Amino acid sequence: MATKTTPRTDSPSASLPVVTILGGGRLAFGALGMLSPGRKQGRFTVRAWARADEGRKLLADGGADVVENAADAVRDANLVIMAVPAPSLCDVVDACADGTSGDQVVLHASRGVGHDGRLPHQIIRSRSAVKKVAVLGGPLYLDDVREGRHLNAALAARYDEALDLVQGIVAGAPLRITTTHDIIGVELCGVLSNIAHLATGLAAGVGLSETDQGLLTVRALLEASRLGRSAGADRATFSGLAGVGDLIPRRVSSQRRHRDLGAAWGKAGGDVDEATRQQIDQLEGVVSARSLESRFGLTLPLVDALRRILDQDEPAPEVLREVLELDLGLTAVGT
Amino acid sequence: MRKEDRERILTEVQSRVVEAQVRLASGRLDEVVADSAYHELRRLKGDRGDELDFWRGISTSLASASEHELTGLLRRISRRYAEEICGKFDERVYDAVTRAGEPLMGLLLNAISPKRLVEGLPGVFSGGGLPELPGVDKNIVVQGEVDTLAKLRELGTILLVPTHVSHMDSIAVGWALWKMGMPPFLYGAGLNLFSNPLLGFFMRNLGAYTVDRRKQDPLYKAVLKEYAQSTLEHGYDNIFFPGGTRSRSGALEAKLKLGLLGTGVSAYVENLLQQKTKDRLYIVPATLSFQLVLEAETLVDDFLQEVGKSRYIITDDEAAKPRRIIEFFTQLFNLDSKIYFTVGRPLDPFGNYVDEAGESIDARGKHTDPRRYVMRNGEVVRDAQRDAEFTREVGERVVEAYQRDTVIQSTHVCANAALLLLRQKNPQSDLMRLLRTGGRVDDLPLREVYAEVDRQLLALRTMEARSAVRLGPAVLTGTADDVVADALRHFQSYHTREALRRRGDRLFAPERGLLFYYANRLAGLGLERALGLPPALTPDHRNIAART
Repeated sequence: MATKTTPRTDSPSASLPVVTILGGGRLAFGALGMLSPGRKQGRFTVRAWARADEGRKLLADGGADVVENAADAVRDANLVIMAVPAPSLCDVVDACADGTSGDQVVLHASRGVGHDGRLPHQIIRSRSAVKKVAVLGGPLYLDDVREGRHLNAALAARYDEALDLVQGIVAGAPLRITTTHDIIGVELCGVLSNIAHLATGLAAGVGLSETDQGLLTVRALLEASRLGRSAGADRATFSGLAGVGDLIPRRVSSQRRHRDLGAAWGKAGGDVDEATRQQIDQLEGVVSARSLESRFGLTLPLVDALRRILDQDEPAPEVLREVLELDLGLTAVGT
Repeated sequence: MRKEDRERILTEVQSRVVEAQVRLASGRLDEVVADSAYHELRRLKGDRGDELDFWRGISTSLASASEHELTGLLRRISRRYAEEICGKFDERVYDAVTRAGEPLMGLLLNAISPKRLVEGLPGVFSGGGLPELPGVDKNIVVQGEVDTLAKLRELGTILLVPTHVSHMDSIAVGWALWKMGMPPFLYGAGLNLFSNPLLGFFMRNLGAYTVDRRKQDPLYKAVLKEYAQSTLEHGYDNIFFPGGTRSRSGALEAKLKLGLLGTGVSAYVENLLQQKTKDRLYIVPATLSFQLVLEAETLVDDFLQEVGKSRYIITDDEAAKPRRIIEFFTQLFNLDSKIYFTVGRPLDPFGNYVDEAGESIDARGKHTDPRRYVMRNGEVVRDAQRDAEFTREVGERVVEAYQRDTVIQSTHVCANAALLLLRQKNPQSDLMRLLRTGGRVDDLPLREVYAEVDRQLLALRTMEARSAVRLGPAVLTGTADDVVADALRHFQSYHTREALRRRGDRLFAPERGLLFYYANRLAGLGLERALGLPPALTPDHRNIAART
């Protein structure tokens, strides 16, 4: 914790803190909603940047000061929220990198890895001057916000300063936060959560039972934990809010894109139209499935199964049954 | 160290430690003082003299001390520790050393006997009369970011963090710094080393201050850390060995002790808060590579002790025997063996690389302002958790540099090839058993060793081409025959038992522990994978892998 400060004349302004949102999709509007209480109380100002006109207009309508250039949008901001999926993260970080500096905190909620298999915080840190990255994971359902319910989230960052800043900024928003230093664990839980969701969607689509879908979810958690152990994550994270706490509510909820598109593929036996195919290709879970194994060099049967189904046109029922045949073990989490 | 700085630093250390303890103890200062007295009286049990009297006095005063008096006791203890760490500084010695036309290392290496060496020492004080020092220049190779280091010394304060395999490291580093035209850096050395008149003399005069690792008192550790930080803040370049102790296994350090390394970022923050003009601080990794290691036999024996029996402080090894030191260097230089001192890429206290102009470069290769990492809302802020995290990041960069910059030599490759083949040929024996009692197959056909060395050379040269490792000349361009012959010459020359010996067309390993020790220098490069073997060491390089 900070103990003493000394003003400097050549430093950035110590005026009202600035929060910048990058991105113009659902995540960005969710973030804008979370910032609403603090913004209205005048605790900070909100800047925003989005590539598409539509996104920019909606952000402006939501009260953000929309900036044309991403680097200008983040310059001297205290907190930068990168509200984009993992596959787009590289482009967004590159667009704003010239405006970044070492004192900034970047928050993201991506649930995937980049095309080269790197985790989101690694992408952000390797392409900008930022070192203090935080991730919001766990069962973040924007539907809950729309319906006036609290969001539940796991907030992870190695730096307490980042945890404190984010919690201070969203104070007053309908959000219950659990904090941890295990950013790798929370990011991996997010990645495997999407993969699990895709797999259970596929399983539902090809007519596998509820029990089988549940087993695939447990398999995803096992693989997340295996990845985590290899990457230096804390095994407790996988049985916490970001892991089990995310997978269970996701499993019982059916209104999810990964699940729906997985189910569409399963029902059609892979014979989906071009638009659906494109949507599937852009899913964070699909990009992750394609790059995780090569990055970590581990055997991940469920991740491999998705690649075989989606890229090699192998029949989903058989491939998923192969995965279900595998021994889950009695100590699935953390083994 | 300048005399006026010494007093200032001691006072500063004392007041900072007392201030921090008063803050942390929150009204229970008696416990802090009682803790110190307990640890020290326990350590001194059976001793006599001034030190024991001091602690008995503290213990007696403690019983009826007021809060004000407790602070006074704490001040006395902190001052005593700080003075002990700083040592009885002799400015004449320091000046003589910094002016010396030839380094003390040369004197050491040229001495025929410890007796003559000791007789030669007074020459240092008079500034002349040093004997001729042939051969040192060509046997110690100083390479890497030497020019950058020299430039950075002008721009800020240097924290040099070398690998640590031998007590010879500090002497070799001292020589290398002299060779680069730099005065001695300060560094902490175990108190036990000062009891050896030979090593003690060189160490103190190459900038050593004392670290008594027998002291368990947390207050002592706080004073030590504060002393190191304070000297950095006063612009004194420091050397820390972040491995903490000499590598017992022979492997490069993969996990560092971050306590002293963390003084880098703390000192930088204080420099900013005090608005010093020369506020920059640079952390410079460095590696030392020997074909043979003076204390290898003792170190690896210690490593192979059962878990929990290994010693953190070893006082009776080869470094405590002047004759062995002389033998060691004589043999090394007779073989024209090279000691490589490689200066790695400098870092700022946040793990960013630094260019020749002293500017921090972020991950995408652009200049970045390092002050911003410790600022919040435009102000420089102290934050212990943040600094610990930055230090962890710096530690990771330093470990990468160790792997990248350590020069791999023939003894390492040959030992690694032979050990892997022995492991492969004795699948029924786990590694510990193989090392202790040998396996069913104890000898290796030379042609198989050549083939394995060839394979490793190819892999290592591929790594070298992408700057992932550094190779010594024989390993870089020699044939497998050259590498094996060079390694065998070295193994035969100094150790009491050989790591490898040739008998006809076969190789034997009379001292398998040594084979393991030298092979471990290649740990972490994955050379065992091609033979379907797991790594011999767990990732932290401190324990043997559970399954071998």
